[in-house]
Amino acid sequence: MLLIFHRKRNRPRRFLCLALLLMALPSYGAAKKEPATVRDLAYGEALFRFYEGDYFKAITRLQVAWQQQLLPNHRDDAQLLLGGLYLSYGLHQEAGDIFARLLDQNVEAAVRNRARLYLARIWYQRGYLDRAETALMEMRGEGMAPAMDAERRLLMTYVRMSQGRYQEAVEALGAWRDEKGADNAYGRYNLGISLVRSGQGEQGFELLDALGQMHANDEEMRALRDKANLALGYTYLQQDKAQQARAYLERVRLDGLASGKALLGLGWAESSQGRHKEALKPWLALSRRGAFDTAVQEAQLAIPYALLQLDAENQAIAYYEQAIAAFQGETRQLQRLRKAFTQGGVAQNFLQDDEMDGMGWYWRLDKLPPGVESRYLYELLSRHEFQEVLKNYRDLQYLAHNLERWAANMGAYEDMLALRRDTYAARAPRIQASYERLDLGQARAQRDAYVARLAAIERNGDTAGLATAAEQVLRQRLEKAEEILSRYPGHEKLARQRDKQRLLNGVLLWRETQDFKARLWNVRKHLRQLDEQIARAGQARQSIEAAQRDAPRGFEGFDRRIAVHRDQIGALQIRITASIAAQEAYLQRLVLDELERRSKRLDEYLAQARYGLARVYDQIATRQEAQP
Amino acid sequence: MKLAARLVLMALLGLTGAMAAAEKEEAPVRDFKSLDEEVQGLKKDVLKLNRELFILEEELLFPTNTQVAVFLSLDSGAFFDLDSVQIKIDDKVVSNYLYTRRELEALKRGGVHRVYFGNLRAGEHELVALFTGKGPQGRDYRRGASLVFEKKTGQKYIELKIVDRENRQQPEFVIKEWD
Repeated sequence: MLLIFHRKRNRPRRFLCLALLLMALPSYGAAKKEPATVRDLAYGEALFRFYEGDYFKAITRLQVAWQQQLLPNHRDDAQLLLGGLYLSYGLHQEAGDIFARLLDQNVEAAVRNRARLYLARIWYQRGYLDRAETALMEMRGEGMAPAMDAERRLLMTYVRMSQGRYQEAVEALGAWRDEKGADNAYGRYNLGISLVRSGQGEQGFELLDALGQMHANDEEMRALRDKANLALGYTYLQQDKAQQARAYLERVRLDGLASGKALLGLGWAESSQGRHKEALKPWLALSRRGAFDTAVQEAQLAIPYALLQLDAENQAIAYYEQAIAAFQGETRQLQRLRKAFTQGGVAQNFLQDDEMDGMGWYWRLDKLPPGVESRYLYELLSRHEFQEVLKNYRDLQYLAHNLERWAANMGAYEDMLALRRDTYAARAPRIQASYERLDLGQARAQRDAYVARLAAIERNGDTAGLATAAEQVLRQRLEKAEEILSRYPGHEKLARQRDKQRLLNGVLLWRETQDFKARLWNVRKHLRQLDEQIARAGQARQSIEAAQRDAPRGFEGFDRRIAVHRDQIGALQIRITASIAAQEAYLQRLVLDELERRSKRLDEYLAQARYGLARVYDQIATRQEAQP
Repeated sequence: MKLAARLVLMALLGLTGAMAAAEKEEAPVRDFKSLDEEVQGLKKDVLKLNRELFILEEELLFPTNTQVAVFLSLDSGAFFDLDSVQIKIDDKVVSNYLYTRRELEALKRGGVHRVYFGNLRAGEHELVALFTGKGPQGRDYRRGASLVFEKKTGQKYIELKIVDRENRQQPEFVIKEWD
């Protein structure tokens, strides 16, 4: 596999930037400055989840709101945000579809270019090289800042390098290769190595030499500078140009990660010039380091070789024996590890310190958990393949937990539904009976009679028709008095009573006439209230009838949905379990292959050490036999 | 010995035999893609099911005819640093929410928090929201706002808005009913 070294990036921030950028598109009506003006609550709620970093909930809210048509004012904003979130979950197909649909027509070039760059990066990392290249080719010069162009060129360089198209990779990097910057430095390093490999040494040397002499402000750049010098040193060693090799290898820092290989190479540079004593110095220094390091193992083989060149046979024998013992110890260690990893639990081993607090594309394992195996497997960390599979494994675990929660909820929902059904069954007959007692038809007939009577009273100006109860009693008494008085016509002693009866009759009529309009208004108001009450009672009855009709169907509907979803959850759980096992198996294979590679190398070293030792003994024996 | 050792070294550094190595690892790469596609498919299906389950849960627990949701939104928060909000409906505390820094940031950037989701019968109700936090000049600040609203048979959405009033250099607490 082609090894391409990449910088560790602050991925969450970068993706957040993309999503923010996409959301703030002027053409979509979102606010140009924060905070965004939210015109659909559901969109605001998804934004809240997104900004607080709960991407899974943000996706769910957006999807639900979309299905429930709760985003009339933020349709495109929501889609673009969803695209960014899909991308953050590694759902590059869905993200790609959304971007292709929305980005082409509606957004400014800078945003379109950035989205394509993100897509290209994730496609490249996932090994979709053709798609990555297409996305990069679609980036247009318009609206492309120099920094973005630099990223585009670098990614294009990597894509082409990964396809073995080295010359085209050089063309992609173009004049930009003279620029400064950390990303650029990685690009030049990778390209330099590729050029050397592809036989275009001169261009490659030029790039690597410049890197090997660059001013480095931080450890990352110093380490890269060491790598460049190391690569040049070994390339010259391979070409039997020991002097040049030595010059580059001496540039490598002694306290850096590349120091072991540099010391080893320095020894070979001296040795190849016949300076075996000088070669011993770096090799001996190296041999005192941990025996698991391949450079150290190489040195353990090289030391007796140099000693033999110096005719120090006994010392060579001692170093060969020392090397054999060390190699055997390492072999046993590797066998133990292989046995342990063969039994499974590879992913858990890597993720033992991980909080498993979410999922997403930005996650990566930066440090192996402490343990003997870490020192043998650290090289795996730099491989996309390893990181991506581990990430998928982790994401699947998250999804599995999510489904477990839903599966548990399904049981609770079924219980809840059963309780509701029982409660409904117990209450429904009582409510039904109480409504059956209510004769709405009779109530409406009475109301109609009141309306008709009121109309007659108004039409006839029948003020007595709206008399109060007290007035009616008074009127009855006055009528009774009039009837009594009429029995004694012309009776003078009753003249005062007659006058009084007439007066009171007049007062009563005056009062009824005076209040007639107000009373009419009041009665009408009461009639309206009666109408409302009758209407409410009608609605309530309709609701009850609807509930009686729909409730069983509703219960059944929920029952059916719960049953269907329970099956879906079960089916997905089976698929997820299988996929977790497949990821685990793949990781196991990567780890076992790595251990196997180391074992094979150790076997070779062991064979060489034994062969060297046997040869020394053979030489000594031959010499002794030759002596008289 | 010398040549053999150096070839091992070259291989170790990945400077030779790169193409052979690439060919050797071609199978795992292909496997990786199919695994990746499988995981993508699973993620997509889980997200889809998650959406359906979310809707089912809402419909089951908060039927449309009784559903009430109270949301909280914030301006830039220049005059009010929100700590918590208490919501009472018909004199009963239905929610007490204490905001984290992260959630506050999410609010300030335009997020809207669903602070209460519940059920209410149709009819007239009173909502009282009590906001606590730091007001202008960092002083403890406690304000209330109330709304009498009619719950009909559809969903009812209410938004509590904390708005910066530049002219008065004070926060304002507004309750808005959504249709």
